[in-house]
Amino acid sequence: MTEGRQRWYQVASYGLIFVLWLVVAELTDSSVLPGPIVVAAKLAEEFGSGDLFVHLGATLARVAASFVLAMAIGCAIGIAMGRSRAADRLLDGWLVLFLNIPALVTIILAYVWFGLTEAAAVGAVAINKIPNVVVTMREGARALSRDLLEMAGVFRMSRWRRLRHVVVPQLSPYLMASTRSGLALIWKIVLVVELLGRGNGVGFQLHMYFSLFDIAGILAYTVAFVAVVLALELALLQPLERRVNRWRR
Amino acid sequence: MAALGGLTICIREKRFPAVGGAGARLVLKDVVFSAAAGEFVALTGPSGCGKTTLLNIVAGLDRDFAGEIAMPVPGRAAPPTIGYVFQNPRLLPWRTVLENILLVLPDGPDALDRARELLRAVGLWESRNVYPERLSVGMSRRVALARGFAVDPDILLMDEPYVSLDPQMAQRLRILLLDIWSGRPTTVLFVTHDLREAIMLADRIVVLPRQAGPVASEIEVPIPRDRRRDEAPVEAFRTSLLNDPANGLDELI
Repeated sequence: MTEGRQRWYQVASYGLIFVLWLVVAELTDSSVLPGPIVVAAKLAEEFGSGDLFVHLGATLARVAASFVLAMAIGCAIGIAMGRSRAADRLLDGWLVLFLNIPALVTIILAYVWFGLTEAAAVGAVAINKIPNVVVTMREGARALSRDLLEMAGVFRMSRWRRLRHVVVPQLSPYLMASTRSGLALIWKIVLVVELLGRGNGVGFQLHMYFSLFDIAGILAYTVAFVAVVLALELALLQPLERRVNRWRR
Repeated sequence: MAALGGLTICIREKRFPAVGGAGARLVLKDVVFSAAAGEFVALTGPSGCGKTTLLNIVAGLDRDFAGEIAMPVPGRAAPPTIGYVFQNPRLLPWRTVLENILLVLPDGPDALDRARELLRAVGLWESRNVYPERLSVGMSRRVALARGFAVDPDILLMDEPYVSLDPQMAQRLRILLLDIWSGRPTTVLFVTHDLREAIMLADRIVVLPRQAGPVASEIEVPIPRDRRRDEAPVEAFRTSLLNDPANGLDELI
């Protein structure tokens, strides 16, 4: 498929969602499923009052902080486990434990133990995501080519060169996978954290609209956030991926 | 040009530890030989006799052995520079041909000149911005050869670099190797199980036995370098070697 044609398919597929939503909303004609036009009006209202920026901004800041924290710690642990059998044996039990603790439990415990603070909120989200990053990066580290590492060793490449030109390119598909699934998972957990113990953010707003039974408000914030994630994907992740993969045949 | 260093190999014992059902295996035992500075030594022997293991020990990739490897370089305290041309080219697929060469060279103004010189020598300067996956088999071997020489090695190790190529291509690459080596003399240790290849390339052939043990024989190749590219003298010498059981070549196909 050519580039232009791919773009067209993408647009068509988003259009289809929109049309489906419009049709179903029209057919049911119910206050619990407002159509896109009502939601767009609500979105404009939130945008006009400045609320959208305050809450979306707060949520994005938490997502960014948790994401950076989870990726940094998760990559370090995952690579260590992938490269060292001892580390793998030592930490494997912990990994299974943390993979299976429900997000809600981590969040409640973090709030109970450390108070309703920003650090507890961000930390709780990161702890939920770290095990997933570890699993993915461990696979990546295990798959590192021994041939290429030996080559780098014989030719005495510096540590920095080895990391940048031999190791990271091999890990990049795994980093990319972690990033994608990470963004999707983290923002969902951030909303729960906000709903349970923060005074701003999209989660807080959703909670408020839920008590008011304002479905248009809920959908407006959902659409706004998904749009931001989509923009990230198109403006940042996809170009980055193309650049990283240009050597492939 | 670097002051040339020789190479002395003395491996008392090399074992591979038991893995799974297979027991521990003795691979090399009392292997002693040396290469003079600037000498081209071919190392041959039946498959599985430990040729590649020996090369990896010399390269420092395998340190779990009893014995010692000496590579003194006159007038220099730093460890010798090693170039390695692997059986598979082992290029970084996500870096271009030129980057693959530059990455083994120290940063500096000379690096690009050096890379240009070697890529011209192997006829690949025009393809310098190509990624390795887009190269033909022969081209990637040439990049690996250029990389091996680019570091200006005191010792150049080559591990059956032309195995599994069609005969014409392998022959072209051998001639290229000799051309480059004659302009950039260095001590070469070349592993091969092809006796013709060894005769064509080497000053001396070291034969390892099938069972781990001392070197079976060391054979000087008397054919003058300018006659090595013809088949007849190489073939005649090969026949004479195979006819003498003292050479320990009977197990070599």
